[in-house]
Amino acid sequence: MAQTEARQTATTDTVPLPVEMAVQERRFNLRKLLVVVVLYLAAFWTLVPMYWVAISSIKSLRDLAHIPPRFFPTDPRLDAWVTIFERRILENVYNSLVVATLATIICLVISVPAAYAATRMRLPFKFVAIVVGLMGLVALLPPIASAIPLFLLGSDLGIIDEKYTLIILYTVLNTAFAVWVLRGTFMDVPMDVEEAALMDGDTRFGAVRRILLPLIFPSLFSIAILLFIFNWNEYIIALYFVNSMKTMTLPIAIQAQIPQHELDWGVVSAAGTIAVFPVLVAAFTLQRFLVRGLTFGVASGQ
Amino acid sequence: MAEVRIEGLTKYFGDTCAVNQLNLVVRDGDLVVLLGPSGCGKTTTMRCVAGLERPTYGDIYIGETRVNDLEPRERDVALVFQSYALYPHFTAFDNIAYPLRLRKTPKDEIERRVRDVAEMLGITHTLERPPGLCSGGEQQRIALGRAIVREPVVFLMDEPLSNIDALLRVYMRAEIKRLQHELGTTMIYVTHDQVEGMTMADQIAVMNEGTLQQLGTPSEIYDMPANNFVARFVGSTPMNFIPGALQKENGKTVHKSDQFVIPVGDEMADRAAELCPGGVCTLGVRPEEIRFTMDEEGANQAGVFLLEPLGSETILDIEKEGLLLKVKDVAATQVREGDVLSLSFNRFHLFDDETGAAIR
Repeated sequence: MAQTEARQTATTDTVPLPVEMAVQERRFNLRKLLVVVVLYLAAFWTLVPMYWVAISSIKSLRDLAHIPPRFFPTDPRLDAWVTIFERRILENVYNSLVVATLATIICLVISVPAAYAATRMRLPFKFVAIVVGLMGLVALLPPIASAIPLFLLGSDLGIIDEKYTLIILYTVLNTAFAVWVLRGTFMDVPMDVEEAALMDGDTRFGAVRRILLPLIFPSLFSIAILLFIFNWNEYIIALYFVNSMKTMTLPIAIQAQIPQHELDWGVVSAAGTIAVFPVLVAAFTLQRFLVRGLTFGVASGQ
Repeated sequence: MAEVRIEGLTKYFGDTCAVNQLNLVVRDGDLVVLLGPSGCGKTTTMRCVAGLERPTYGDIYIGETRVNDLEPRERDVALVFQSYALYPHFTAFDNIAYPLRLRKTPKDEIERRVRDVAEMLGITHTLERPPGLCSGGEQQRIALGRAIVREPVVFLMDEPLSNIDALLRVYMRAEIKRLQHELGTTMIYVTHDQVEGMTMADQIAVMNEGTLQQLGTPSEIYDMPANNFVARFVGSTPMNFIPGALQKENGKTVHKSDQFVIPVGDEMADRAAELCPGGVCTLGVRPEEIRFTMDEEGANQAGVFLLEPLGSETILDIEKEGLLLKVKDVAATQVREGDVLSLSFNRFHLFDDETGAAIR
């Protein structure tokens, strides 16, 4: 025993002994276990409602109305799904996809240069503060507050019930948010790296394209996914600006499944399941990009 | 390769004047160190040469070309950053190859030149790795390689050694000097470390508060500081300063302070009478220029209160009536704390108290 102790003190600053490693590992595992348990609980907490919606879409009316609620359908059926496809839900999915995707792309095209200017150009501080502050105000405004004036403006211009109107509105409403988040991202990348590119013979635009954007790509991608989810789920603006099947996005379509009388929970649930699906795909893709660390090691010793 | 000429460079950031009326000529092939404390304008000066800042007033010439309005990429100047500023998403190879790729250099030539530079710097083994997986010293060399590979007309170095450990720093500063000699390229090197400046430079430009204090070879800067700032800033054990005034005593001029009476040579006395008629001036003397004897009877006595042994030499901290002096004892004499020494001042400088300028 005394011998092992002596060896331990002799080797502490070189290689840990197997005993020490085992202790460390066990401690590590206990922490890991706790983390995993908490994560599973959180996942359970968020997934149960989704499961409930999905399962409700294949439940029979008896199961749906059963008290206490049934966690597993006793008599699964696809009636609701048939109904929802008959009601041309795929057209709504298409509308939502077009609107959400285009609004996301345009929003990024506008906000990336805006955020770049706000962080990199030596603009007077007051100017930046005022512009970004105003944009923040727009972001803080509840959508319902702007929906009615926007609707009046839109009907004057005669652009109600058009997909491009929704695209423009979503772009405008999200730009402030995107600029804010991107500004933080840009500020994380040291100015040095871009300046190095300029010194190496690159143009400003080239430095942004070849150095800055690849460095922040993970964040850029995450922001894109977030914007897409916002656009995909947007309800209030769409409620005012959608008048027909031509422009009807999914959230409005789901609401339209709720008639005045005789609510069919199965159909609503099926529509809800469809709406969740792309968001799920987005979240899974996003997860791989959430790993940061590319900018790690840009500047040593700082 | 080219000469760099800075004429009347002034740079304001808002109301703050970072560089004020700077004139400096860096001769072709010289290594000039811009030396000064942080905030003295040395980095701003260098960034103006690089093209990352626009001068408020003044002109910068590289060779015969006035470069004020040229973009960094049009100046053919390479800059090594304090943080190295490597591209983390590229491998070391791609980092070094980047300036060549931008110049549309043929692939096989890029391959050859990058490998050559890597070999010269001893980083061939890192080429396939991203900089994040390289050690600090290796990252430094990658940054150097990126600057060297394109054979620019001027190298700019912004405190490139401040982020590596002390041992490697001593090694790297010789390495950079050797590289510069080998390549024969003009280099402007910015540092706040006066040892780096002294060891590397052909010429040192000492700056303070945006103005050039003195331009000269390391030995000129050390032996003949133009003013008390330069005298204070240069030297690893700082110069001693003794405030006082010049007086006549028995027909001889002396520098009289509360603590000491130091005879001033006739030549210097004449110059002082001309340049500093009031006679109020501070005497500056380097630690190695103070001689001492253990003689308790001699003039200018003072007590040792602390010894700082440095191995090859010992610094004696001497105190007299509130005045602290550092004296370098190279001869390893047996002085002990509490001993009383008699001091004589070998070579010293006089600085006009009003202007701070050296009297010579």
